[in-house]
Amino acid sequence: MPLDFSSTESNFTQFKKLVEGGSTDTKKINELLVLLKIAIIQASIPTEKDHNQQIVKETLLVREILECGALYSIKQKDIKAFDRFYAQLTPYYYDFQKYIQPSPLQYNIIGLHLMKLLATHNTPRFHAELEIIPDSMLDNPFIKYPLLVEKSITEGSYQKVLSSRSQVPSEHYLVFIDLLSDSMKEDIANCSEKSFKYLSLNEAQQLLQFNPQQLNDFIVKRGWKVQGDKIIFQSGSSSVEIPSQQLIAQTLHYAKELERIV
Amino acid sequence: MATKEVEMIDVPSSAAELKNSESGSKEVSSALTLSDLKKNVQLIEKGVDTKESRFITRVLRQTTAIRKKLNAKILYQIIATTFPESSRKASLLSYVKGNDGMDIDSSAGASSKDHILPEVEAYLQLLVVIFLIDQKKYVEATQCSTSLVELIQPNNRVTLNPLSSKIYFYYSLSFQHAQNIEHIRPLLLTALRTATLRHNDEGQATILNLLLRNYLEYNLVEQAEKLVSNTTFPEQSSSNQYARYLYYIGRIKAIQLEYSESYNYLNQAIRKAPQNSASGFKRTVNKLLCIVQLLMGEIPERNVFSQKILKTAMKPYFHLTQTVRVGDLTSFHQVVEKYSSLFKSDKTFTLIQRLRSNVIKTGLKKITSAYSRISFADVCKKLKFDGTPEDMMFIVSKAIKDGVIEATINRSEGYLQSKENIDQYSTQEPLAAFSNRIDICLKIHNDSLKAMRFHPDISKAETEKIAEVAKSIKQEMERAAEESSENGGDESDY
Repeated sequence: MPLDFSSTESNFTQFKKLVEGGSTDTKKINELLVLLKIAIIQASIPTEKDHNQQIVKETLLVREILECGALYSIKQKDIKAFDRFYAQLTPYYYDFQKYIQPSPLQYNIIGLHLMKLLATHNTPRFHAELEIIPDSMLDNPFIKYPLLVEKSITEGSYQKVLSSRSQVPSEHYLVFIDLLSDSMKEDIANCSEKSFKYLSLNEAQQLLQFNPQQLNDFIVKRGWKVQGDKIIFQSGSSSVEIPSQQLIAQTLHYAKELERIV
Repeated sequence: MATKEVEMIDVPSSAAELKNSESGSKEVSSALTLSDLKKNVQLIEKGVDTKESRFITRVLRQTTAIRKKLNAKILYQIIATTFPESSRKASLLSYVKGNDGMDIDSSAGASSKDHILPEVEAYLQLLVVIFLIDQKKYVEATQCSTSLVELIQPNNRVTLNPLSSKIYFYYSLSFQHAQNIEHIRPLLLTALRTATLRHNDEGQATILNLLLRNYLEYNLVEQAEKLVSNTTFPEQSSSNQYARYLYYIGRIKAIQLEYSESYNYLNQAIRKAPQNSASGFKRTVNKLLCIVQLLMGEIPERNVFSQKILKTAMKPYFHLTQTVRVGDLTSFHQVVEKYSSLFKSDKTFTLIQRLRSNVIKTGLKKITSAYSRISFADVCKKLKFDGTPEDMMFIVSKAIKDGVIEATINRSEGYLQSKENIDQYSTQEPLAAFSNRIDICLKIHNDSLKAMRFHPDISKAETEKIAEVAKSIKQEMERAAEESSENGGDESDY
């Protein structure tokens, strides 16, 4: 069934208007989104042999629908939906780039996807995606930001991540920064346990960017000891255990092997 | 060689004469090549008759030598005499002919045969493809190789297998030179399926590598990774293909941050690579290996950089290694800046950018072993770090957590205090190291046992003799085992 171009287009303008206007009528938006998703399936795809005007026009529309949908899903904090939209968008960004003009939103969305990979701790995927991005685009603010965040995380400058909120290239990135900041705080706490002997409450508050109440909850959650105004960390010198199981297994293994040789 | 001799003798003679004798020796060598080719065609026919693919493999081995001597005239002659009249013959001849309006004896065009084996056909067309690639006529090469692939694909003949892997290789090569390698992906995927179904191991291995190369050419690491995880590399294939395959996996793993796995694969790739040739391959692998080692926090050995075939190619990597070893951020950035275009063309640039944190870590290691107590501001200065002491504190804190350095932080006064050197022998380290080595020794012993084979030519009586000896040894072993278990039993009784 071919795509009904005009009705899809009108549906899409309506959808776009509602989303961009910040409408709260989720029911109406979702209804439209379902219609648009069906339209996406019906749209034709450009090929080597056939990429005439009409097909290119449809492709451009589908791409715009997907992009809008992806941004909307982020606004709704529906990460899984964003993932699906992104998967659908990839051919439009990479494989069809011979037939259609690059989208102005392209790197915004790729950057968001990179942030998503960071927030879900999928660094292998993050680097694999990074390989596809051409060198010239690495300075693009939308790409540069996730790169900066990634660098800070591997280095250990967690606080930089927390304080980078003000530098986000678009509001959509805040969702992922929120997701990240929780795990960043856990990471800071993990590092602090190992590296500090003691830490005053004030300093801890600064490090973790908490208010006193949040800090108290956090201390309870992690089971830290507080003496006066200081948090005392257990120094890591717990008594060394002899790994008896492992030793027995090893010795038996040697005995077996030696018996085979002699 | 022949031309050189002629030149030396005829130095005083006129230029015209020299030219004459030169062309004469050329004729001789081309006649020789032609007869070589004819012999090869006969060998292929013999191979097909006896259904022995080793004859065909031999032909392919010789082709490397012939490749250098090929010219349009030889190809024209061999095609004209072996092909029956057909449209394929005409099209092949047109590829060869359009070259340099040379005088071709048209009477040689008359063919003597009315039938041709598909193997011979494929072989000759393969030669044309190679010739076109050598002549840098890439567009024609792609056309010619496409029609060649169409020719062999529907044919299910065991004797075509060794040829087909070569054919796919040159097919991909021609497209790569023509820079539209992505178009052949679907065809290669079907070819891979066909090769797998027909148990064409060599073809399967070649096509798998071609696909991986194709994906990695466009940096499609994910697709390449999925291909690797969904296929098995045929064990029977040649070690050259296996070396390539290992390199590709190593590359994928390096990008996905699995450095130790990548290190293993790359090391194996170097070992599997041919000893005396393939210096280009070795260079590429060594470059990547060097970066992976640095990322693992190890410093590559110096002799890697001083090997003759690697020396010049590895120089930028040598400088890079030096800066990482010293832990100096400024000079690290300088080296990266200086060679960035080279690193980009080597496709190691993104990996190198990850090295920054390693540089900081080695720097920190040095500082903690030299100072018992140092302020963060001084650490920043020493590492030439481009951030605040506060940032440095977080980095140090992570390094402590990761076990890179042994130290504690005093936050209120802002300094880093190193712990006293721990006695390594009070930890489990030595135990683990010994156990590791024992395991390696045992593995070598077991592997060498497995590798022992009885010679097939020894007569039956002799094998029986050997078997008897083995049997008596076995009995002795069993007895020994029993004794030792008895002893063990005794001990436990005490």
